Amino acid sequence: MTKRFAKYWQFMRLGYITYLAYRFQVLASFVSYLLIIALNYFLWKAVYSGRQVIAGFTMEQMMTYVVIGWSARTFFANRIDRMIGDAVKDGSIVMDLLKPTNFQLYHYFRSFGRAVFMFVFMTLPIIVVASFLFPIQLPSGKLGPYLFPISVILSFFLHAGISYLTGLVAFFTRNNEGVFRFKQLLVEVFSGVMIPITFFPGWVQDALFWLPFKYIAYAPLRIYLGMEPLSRVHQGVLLQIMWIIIIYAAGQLLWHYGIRRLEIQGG
Amino acid sequence: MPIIEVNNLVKDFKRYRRRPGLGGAFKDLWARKYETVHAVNQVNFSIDSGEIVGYIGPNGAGKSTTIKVLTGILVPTSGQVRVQGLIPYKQRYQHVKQIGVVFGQRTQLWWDIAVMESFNLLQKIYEIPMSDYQARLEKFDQVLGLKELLEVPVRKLSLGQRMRCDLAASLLHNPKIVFLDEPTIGLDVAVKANIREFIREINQEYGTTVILTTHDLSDIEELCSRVLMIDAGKIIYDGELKALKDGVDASRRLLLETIFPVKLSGLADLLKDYPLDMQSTDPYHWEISFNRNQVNAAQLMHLLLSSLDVRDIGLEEPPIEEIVRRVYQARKVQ
Repeated sequence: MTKRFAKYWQFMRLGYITYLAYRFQVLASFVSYLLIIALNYFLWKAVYSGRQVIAGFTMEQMMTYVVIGWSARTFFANRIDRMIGDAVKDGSIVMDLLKPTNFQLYHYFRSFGRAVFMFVFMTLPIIVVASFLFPIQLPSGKLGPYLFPISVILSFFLHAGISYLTGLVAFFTRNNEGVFRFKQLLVEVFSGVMIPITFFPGWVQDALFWLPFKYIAYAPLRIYLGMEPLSRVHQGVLLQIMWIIIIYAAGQLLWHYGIRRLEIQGG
Repeated sequence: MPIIEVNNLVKDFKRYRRRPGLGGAFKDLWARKYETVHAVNQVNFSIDSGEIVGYIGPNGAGKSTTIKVLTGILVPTSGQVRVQGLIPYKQRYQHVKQIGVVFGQRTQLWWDIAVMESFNLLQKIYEIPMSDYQARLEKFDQVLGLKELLEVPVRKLSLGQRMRCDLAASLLHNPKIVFLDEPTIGLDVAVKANIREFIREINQEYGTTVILTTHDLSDIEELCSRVLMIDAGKIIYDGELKALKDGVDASRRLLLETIFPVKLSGLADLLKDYPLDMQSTDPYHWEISFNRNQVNAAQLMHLLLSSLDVRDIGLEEPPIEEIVRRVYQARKVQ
């Protein structure tokens, strides 16, 4: 058993090492993340002028939400859909298909290696720098400090699954760029990275309960802020795990259909 | 007991046909017109364990498609394919464990990191026992000279260096069968020779079955006893390379250089019993052409060597490129 999983550990390691070669290139995106956070700060400062609580958030909670949200985004973001799309387009997918590995887990773990890299070179530096510039809170509540890291790791695998499903679209159609963009938009808006879900109309919030997106960012951030009662915290984490399993199974199923449809371009 | 069996294999592709003009482009928006292309059409062959088989044919003949079906990447439209008793596309996981594949135009190595990391990954993927892995790496190094390349990131390797590493990578898990699709494409003579030597050695040492597709027919000539020739999706020749040569072109040329000048009448008199043609540029250099089915080349050479003062003598076969060209041309005429 350990032997079978040794390769996935290795995919993770190599995913990490691959990015290590480009560690200075992330500087530009580090700066842009800080700019986004600064922009949010001035926006929310204007919105909160003369008000204490909006949509259940105080100004300090909102800034914590923004900083932790955007910096966590660098960790749980992935390029799986684009990697699959590119591999199908240039035909290099054949090299992946010739390996006795689970294609889905290969992508999950390779990208997790990238996520570890991002955590070290983006997430942590952003939090450190931002905490000097803006008022932010430490994780609150009894469970916040313990459950938040677990919840964000689950966020990674949830988002990886969504990207994987999106990437498999490339097996069925050649015009996948539009689909990739649409997925990105859905995640940006409905995960709650941009603004908390509580700002949306009631019916949208109800609908989002049945979709996986809000468990990517909104749910873990509420845990961080200690804004949920204990029962809801557990429920949130369990729903994350449930969605990871459902999406993994969907990925396996779609793969078995897709692989028969695949036509490899060129030599 | 054949290790690869292919029966009535067909692989069709759908190709989208664009209609001409603006009107056509508009129509294409609603209903696309497809046509079916038979990339591989009713192909049959079987390969025994330990063979080195050359698989040749012009661009678009169906070589790569066949390889992709055999390796389990593509699902056949119809027909049966069995490799070591497995159906490649159905039992992909078990199947790919036991084969090695090199696509000359691609790499299985990780682009941004040292070659060694990719090799170590393969050790984990194929669960190769550490001692076997190290022994094989040592062995491969002797022929391919890998040691100096192991620490280099793949993107910094030259094409020849990369191909040596890719070839080693495809054989680390000691597969029973290795598919080599254009392994020598774009390589210089020295690297080509190196790679051929390696393939020969793997075949002899481990009994690995080799399926080799190439445009460089000298690869085939040096390595393969058997040739499969494909054209427009159909196998047009399956057999020994030598039989193909003799069947298509039995003409031979004997080049002769003498120490003393020789007169045409003298030479004609000496060879009067043989049906052949003689040409010369000067009295020292002669070109004698004949049909190998009518003239015994060994007898002819013996006669020349014993009757004349020969400085140099050599027998020329028609180049294999010429043979293959003729086979395809003959098909076009039909």
